[in-house]
Amino acid sequence: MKITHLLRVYLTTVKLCFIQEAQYRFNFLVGLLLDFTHASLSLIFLQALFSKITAIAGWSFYEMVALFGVYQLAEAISSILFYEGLKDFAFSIRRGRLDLVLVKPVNTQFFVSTQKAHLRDFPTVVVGLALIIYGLSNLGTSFSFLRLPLFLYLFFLGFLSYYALRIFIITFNFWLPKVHNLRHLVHGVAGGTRFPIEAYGRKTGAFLTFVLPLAVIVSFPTKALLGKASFWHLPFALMVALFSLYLSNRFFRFALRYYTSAGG
Amino acid sequence: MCYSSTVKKYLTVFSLSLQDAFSERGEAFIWVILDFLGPLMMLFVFLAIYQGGEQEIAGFNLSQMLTYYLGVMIINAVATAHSDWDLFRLIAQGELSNFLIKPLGVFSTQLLGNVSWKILKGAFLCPFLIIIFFFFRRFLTFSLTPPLVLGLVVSLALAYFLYFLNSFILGSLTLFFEDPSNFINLNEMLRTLFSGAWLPLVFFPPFIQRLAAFLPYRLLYDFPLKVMTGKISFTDLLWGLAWQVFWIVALFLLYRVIWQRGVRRYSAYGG
Repeated sequence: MKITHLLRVYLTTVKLCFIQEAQYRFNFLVGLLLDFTHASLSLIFLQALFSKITAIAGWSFYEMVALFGVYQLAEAISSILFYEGLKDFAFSIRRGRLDLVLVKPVNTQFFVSTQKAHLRDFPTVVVGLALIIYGLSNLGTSFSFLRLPLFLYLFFLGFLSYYALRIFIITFNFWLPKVHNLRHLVHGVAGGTRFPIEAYGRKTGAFLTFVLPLAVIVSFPTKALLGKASFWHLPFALMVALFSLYLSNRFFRFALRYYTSAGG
Repeated sequence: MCYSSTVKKYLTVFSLSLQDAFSERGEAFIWVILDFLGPLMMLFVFLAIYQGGEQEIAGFNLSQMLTYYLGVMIINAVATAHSDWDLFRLIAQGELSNFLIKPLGVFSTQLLGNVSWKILKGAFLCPFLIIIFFFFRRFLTFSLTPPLVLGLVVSLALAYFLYFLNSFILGSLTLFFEDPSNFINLNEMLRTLFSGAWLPLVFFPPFIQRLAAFLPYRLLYDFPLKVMTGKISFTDLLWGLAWQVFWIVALFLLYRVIWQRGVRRYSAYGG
């Protein structure tokens, strides 16, 4: 399956989603405003928390702001690309609508993941970037733009790992078609990446780095921005991303064998 | 209509709701995990903060802060309601017609349905609470007197009714607006900010605390949690319970007005 073909399919999907969302313009704009406000609540939360404390596991307020910004960015991009597509996955399996996807000349996992784009989350991308810039610009140390390629590399790999985690969890819907909230479990688990891995203590932190490597999603890229990344983060993040993508894809293809259509 | 047939109606609907909840036990289990994960993260975060040298933060020692978030887990599982989205789906898909012709009103049906889910979620929460108690036992102490225990149970029950009324009213807006999801999401944001579910309200600036005092959201989490952590006098406990009753009565009257006007405009098509 050529990458250009997949890209063409995806861009068509985005165009159709935009037309659909913009049908009700006022509702769309109000939704954008609410999503923007909701994303901004994280700054209010941090300011409230840091009004009484000075650090969380050695992370200062502005470092935490940058961390939250990276989390928002990862969440928003993931939501725009995959949320709506995977939202109705359980319904698709239960009602046999997956048949229509299986017969299409596109990779099933790709189409299921990207069939709808949730464009309303675009303001959250803006908020995420604003939080990162706000955090970094107030750190009191000079920022080196040489950190950007390292950040982009680790952010991309962390994003791929997050996608693999999503696919892995929602694949259980093939055996549990009545459980519609598995997609929420992804958010719940990933929500832990809003805080630095060091905050979870030595044993739990090690678990969240080497066993269930959530640390690669947000902590590693943020440390790159802050100039605190270690050299081993680079190969480790690559290994985690490739392995988790492979594992999630194999698991998805294995689970497809258990899909039975619900008829017409 | 005699009393026994009325009770039988409610018991039948409750029994059916409980069976329905058990048939969706997988989903209930996932919701319990989700209700548990957020406060669990805060437990770890505050443990790290206190172990960093803080003795007391905003008037909370470590034990009180951990108890606070244990309380958030319990409230999340047993004192919340999500009739807003249920009603939105029922009305938008025309399925409300089915419930309007039944001998038990939509309000009662939704309430009984929610209660049955709370029972199931409460049962699922127990093993998680045991695990938390085990791992954090070194840091936890409880100082609840019998009047506070009674006050806690009553405040949790009233918080549930308040939460339910709030969500039912928002769901009822579907009778007036094709898509009230923006209202529901706005309410959720306000609840997040003013209820104390995220952080104790004392962390927030004075103007937010003053605003929160006039809104019902703090009665959902902040007030029961003050009782649970023992950070409330008996007089304030009685005042808090009185405020909960006041808001329940006010929201109940609002629900009656909205529902009666909304049902008159309701129409559904198809078989």
